[in-house]
Amino acid sequence: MRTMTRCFHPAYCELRCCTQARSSTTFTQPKRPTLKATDSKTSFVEGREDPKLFSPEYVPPLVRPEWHRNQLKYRLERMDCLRRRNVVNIPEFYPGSILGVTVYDAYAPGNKARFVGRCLYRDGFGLGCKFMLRNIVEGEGIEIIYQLFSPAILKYEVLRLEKWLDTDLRYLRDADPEYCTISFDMPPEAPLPQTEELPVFKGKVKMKDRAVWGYNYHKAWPRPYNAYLEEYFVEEDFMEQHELHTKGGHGHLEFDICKHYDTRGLKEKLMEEMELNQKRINMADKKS
Amino acid sequence: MLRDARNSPLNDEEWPLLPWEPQSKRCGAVGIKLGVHPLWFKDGTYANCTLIQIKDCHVIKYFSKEDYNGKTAAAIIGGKNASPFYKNEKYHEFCRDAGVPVKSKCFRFLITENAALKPGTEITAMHFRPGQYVDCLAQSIGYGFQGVVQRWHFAGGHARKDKKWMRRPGSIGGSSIGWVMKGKKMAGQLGGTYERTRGLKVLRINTRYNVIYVKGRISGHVNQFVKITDSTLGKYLPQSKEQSEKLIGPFPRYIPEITEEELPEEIYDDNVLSLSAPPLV
Repeated sequence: MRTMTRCFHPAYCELRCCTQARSSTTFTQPKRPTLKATDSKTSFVEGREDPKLFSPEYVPPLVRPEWHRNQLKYRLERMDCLRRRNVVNIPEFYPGSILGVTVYDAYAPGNKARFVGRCLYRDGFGLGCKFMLRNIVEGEGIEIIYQLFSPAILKYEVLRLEKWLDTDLRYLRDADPEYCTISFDMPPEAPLPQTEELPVFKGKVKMKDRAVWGYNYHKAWPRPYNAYLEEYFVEEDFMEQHELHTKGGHGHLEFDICKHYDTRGLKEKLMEEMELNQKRINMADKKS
Repeated sequence: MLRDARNSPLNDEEWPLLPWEPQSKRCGAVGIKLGVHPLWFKDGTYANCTLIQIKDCHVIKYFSKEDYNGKTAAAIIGGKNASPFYKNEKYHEFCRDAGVPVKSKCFRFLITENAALKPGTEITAMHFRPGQYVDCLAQSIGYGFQGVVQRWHFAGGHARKDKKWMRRPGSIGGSSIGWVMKGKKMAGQLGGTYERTRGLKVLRINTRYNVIYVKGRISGHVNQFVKITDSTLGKYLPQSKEQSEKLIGPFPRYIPEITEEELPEEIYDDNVLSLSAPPLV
């Protein structure tokens, strides 16, 4: 005679009738893996994060020995940078992009002055970060250096967002003038959304006659990529600089890991810190 | 909590607070140099400011006029807690009597008797006031034994003509005075000495991290100990009670008020623009 078994713990029972019942109700097929992430529209591409959370001027400079660094000072300076960014929108831009900047000028009509130009370089840490704009106005080349976090700057407009392979474009002074002549009425172009990668400009800029150069650009190290120096020089002319920097007892420096600046975990730490800083600022500015 | 601490039976009596008089000097503080960054003013100009953090600063010992040298009283103030294993026994006694951990660096402050502070009182950034002037003393960066070109900026010799005279001083005297004059600039120790920078204005105070922003630059490397005192320059010495409220901080020390409101975290001088200020018009 078949015995009627009764299970007292249906959740843990191993009898076939109970396991079958459990499987038919609790089993769910897992989702098919897709090639594209579902939240791709909200996540930023790795190179282009929100500038409030991460920007190149938040990375502290390498200072040796180690006891010459003070982490509190870096944190206080980054908090001040964030305070300024909460008031004025400082967009992301790279050397090579065209910017328009409105500045407070006590002696100008309307107390404002506007300048448009191509960014030649962007350098510095924290509140001392500076960038240079160059434009050729009525045949005269004009360069102005601005401090990124100065309260005298009222408005930033990125008219064209470009990223060049070089970070120092001062050779454009002796290059084809069409790269730096920008009309003040240039309309802003549609910006690329931050979910897509920005294409890097890898073209070559034609230089002026060799006799007119104010600096030996072929002797710069590292060698500028975006300048068409092959017109006047051959590969053998660049080998002298390559030897100077690699041989003579210094050839191993490129591979010396201890002398490198280890920035592997810095980006994530900085982004976490900036989120904490935002909360700290909200509390601090509420009190005063 | 502060109210309960003040009513505790274990508490010793506080020393009396005497009022300010002309030609009275009060204590300063011991700080750590953090670095330099710019601050902007309301007319759009900017200045580079040093940040100095006042970390774990306590009064360790007070000597009255008779005990010290018959002319002025003195106080020893130390900053930044340290390990007691590398300090001497007499210093341990001072710290034990004050009820304070052993400090890494101490400075002596010459003060008048009406600015006497009880050993064990804490000195924070609120001891100073934005808008007051301050002197900073710190040990400068040491460069060791240096030659005459780096130490005194002599021009040196000509490298092309004479290979034997490149970085040398040349002549050290004349013929009518047949000896070398005292104080002749020669090679020797450069740096590593205590240097004073006077008349620096305090622009901003951060009460949470106890950081003072001082306009200008001071000697010493980052993380160096700094002795901060009220300025002794003639134009910044207060002559009246009203001037003493602008040119020096609270006399003889800052007394925290027992209120429910907390202190504002950032206190700025009148001319200084906070970075979260609206744009200039």
